[in-house]
Amino acid sequence: MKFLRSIPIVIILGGLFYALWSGILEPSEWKVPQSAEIIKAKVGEAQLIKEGSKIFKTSCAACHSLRYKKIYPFFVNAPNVKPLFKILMKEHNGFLTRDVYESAFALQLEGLKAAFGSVPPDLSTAYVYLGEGKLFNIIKNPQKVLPGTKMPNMQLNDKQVLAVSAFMKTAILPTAKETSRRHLIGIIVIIFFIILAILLALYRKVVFEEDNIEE
Amino acid sequence: MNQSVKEWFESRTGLGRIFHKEMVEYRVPKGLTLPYSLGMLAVLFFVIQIISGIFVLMYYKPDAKLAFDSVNYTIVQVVPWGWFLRSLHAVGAGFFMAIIYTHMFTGVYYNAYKNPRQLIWITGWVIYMVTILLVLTGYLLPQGQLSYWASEVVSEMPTAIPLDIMDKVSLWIKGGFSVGDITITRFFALHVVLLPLLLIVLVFLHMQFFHQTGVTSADGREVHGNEKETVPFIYVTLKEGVIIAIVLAAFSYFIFFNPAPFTPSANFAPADPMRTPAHIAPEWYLTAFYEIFRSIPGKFLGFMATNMFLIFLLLLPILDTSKKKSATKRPLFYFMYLLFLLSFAVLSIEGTQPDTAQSIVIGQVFFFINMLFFVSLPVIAHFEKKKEAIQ
Ligand code: HEC
Repeated sequence: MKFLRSIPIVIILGGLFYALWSGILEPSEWKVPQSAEIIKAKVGEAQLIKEGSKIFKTSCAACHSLRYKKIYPFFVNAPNVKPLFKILMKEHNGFLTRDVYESAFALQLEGLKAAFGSVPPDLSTAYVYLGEGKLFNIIKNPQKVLPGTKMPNMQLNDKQVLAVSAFMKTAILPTAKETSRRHLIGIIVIIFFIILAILLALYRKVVFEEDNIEE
Repeated sequence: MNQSVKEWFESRTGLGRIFHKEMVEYRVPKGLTLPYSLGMLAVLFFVIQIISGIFVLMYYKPDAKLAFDSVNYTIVQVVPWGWFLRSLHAVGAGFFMAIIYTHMFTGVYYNAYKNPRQLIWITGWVIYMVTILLVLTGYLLPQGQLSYWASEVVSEMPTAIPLDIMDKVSLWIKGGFSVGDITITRFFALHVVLLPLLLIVLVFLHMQFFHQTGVTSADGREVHGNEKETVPFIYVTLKEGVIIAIVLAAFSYFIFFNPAPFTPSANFAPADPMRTPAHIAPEWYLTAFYEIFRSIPGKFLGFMATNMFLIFLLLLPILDTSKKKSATKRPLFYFMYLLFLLSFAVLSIEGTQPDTAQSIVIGQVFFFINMLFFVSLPVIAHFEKKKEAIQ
């Protein structure tokens, strides 16, 4: 009876936390097309990242920075900017914090803003906040996702888009190797706690019997 | 030798006596159910938050331009095991809130707010308030889009009260006309110093109070001081140890495999005052309030309705006039309690969804059901008295 009474409560609270923590409440409206998913599986992530790195540095970096990968827009290579850029990179070990970056290159960033209406954002975390599907569609056809945007259609094919996206992912999320390392640690930790729970339960039984305690 | 060392310390500290008093002399009812362990779990997660908090604090930079990168780059990618510390703190906060809510709802279920435990309930309520302030101030710190806009909304809250001074209050909270550098350092100071200290004191009082009155037994009888029906607390800690290990196993799953639900993806976009996100919702532990706020027409009414839940919660010891304790012995109360839980769950879930006409209706209906629980308490007490009189 006591058991029956708790069932609705477990269902309500369990349902609440399942809904909140399983991600079912945030369906994404943009998806990577099926045809591209096939390419992704065929080419493999490592290869895509390698190609994506090249594409990003040669086309996207015309406008965008990817600071978490120490990639900065083309303007840093202009003869009048390069000396300052070199000094700053040396001082800051390659990672320019936003305050340094935005004040040192305020003029150049203003220039981009004048040309495009807004400064092309740093893309270090874009993979996560846009989500893979939306990111894919923006790169493939910016006008479709962001109507009226000044972001140009870079005319990349599906594989190239996947490559850039895979590379951008590495700027914010752990690599496949690192992820599996974390999973391995996780499995060990979880097993440890389960064994601990079993041992404690057994110990408790022994203590209760020895001390003649009833529950 | 061992004994004399023990005595040397004991005669100078008296710690052993305190241990004996709190663990052995303090007795709890036999047959406590699982939810009785939630208090201990809350303490555990508070400790996890303090420890992980200290470590992320070592690398975090409270500055509008630096905060975002210090979290998403320095801590997560540069610092060895920084990703682990960050996950501990983020997932830990989610678990902490989930445990606080469940602990609170358990307290309602067992009527733990009744005489002589009113002060336990009130300190618990204050702990809940301080915890909400803790998560609100903490939410601003990573300086993502959600951080920024959620803090804007929260610090504009006071202006829902139609008094001139409230504009000043809002200004005072933010330290400027919009959330900025000053707000960050301000919230930072509250989040890492004042609020945790306050919480430690409150938790201490909360525990002292229930050690004084004892806890209710699961079936609602008063057995405090009854040697036969109670066991020394130290035996219960063994069971709690088992539960803690199981919860930590689940916690580890989220840390190592799936921290994403606790670090919302929208917050990976750096705060941008010029870009209002299409859809702002607070974290889940506040979405019930958010849902009430937006579904009640009029800013002031919405604000008052939101606070009704909190105020009624505080007033439970007064509202529930029945002498009976525990939902296990009160079928009417049990039924209303289920409605209360259900309405809270629905409001919380609907609050995460975009604002539509449908969500307004859902918000109003379930807010009404939620309030019905509180209002029905004196009526239930009345019926219970009548029934008793007949028997
Ligand atoms: C000619 C300059 C230019 C180039 C080259 C360019 N972009 Fe953009 N991009 C922009 C501008 C400008 C915006 C801002 C659009 C807006 O806010 O409407 C933008 C926006 C974006 C966004 C949306 C970010 C957000 O937060 O909404 C993504 C993603 C993006 N670009 C990816 C890329 C990638 C990947 C490449 C390389 C294949 C690339 N861009 C090349 C100018 C450029």
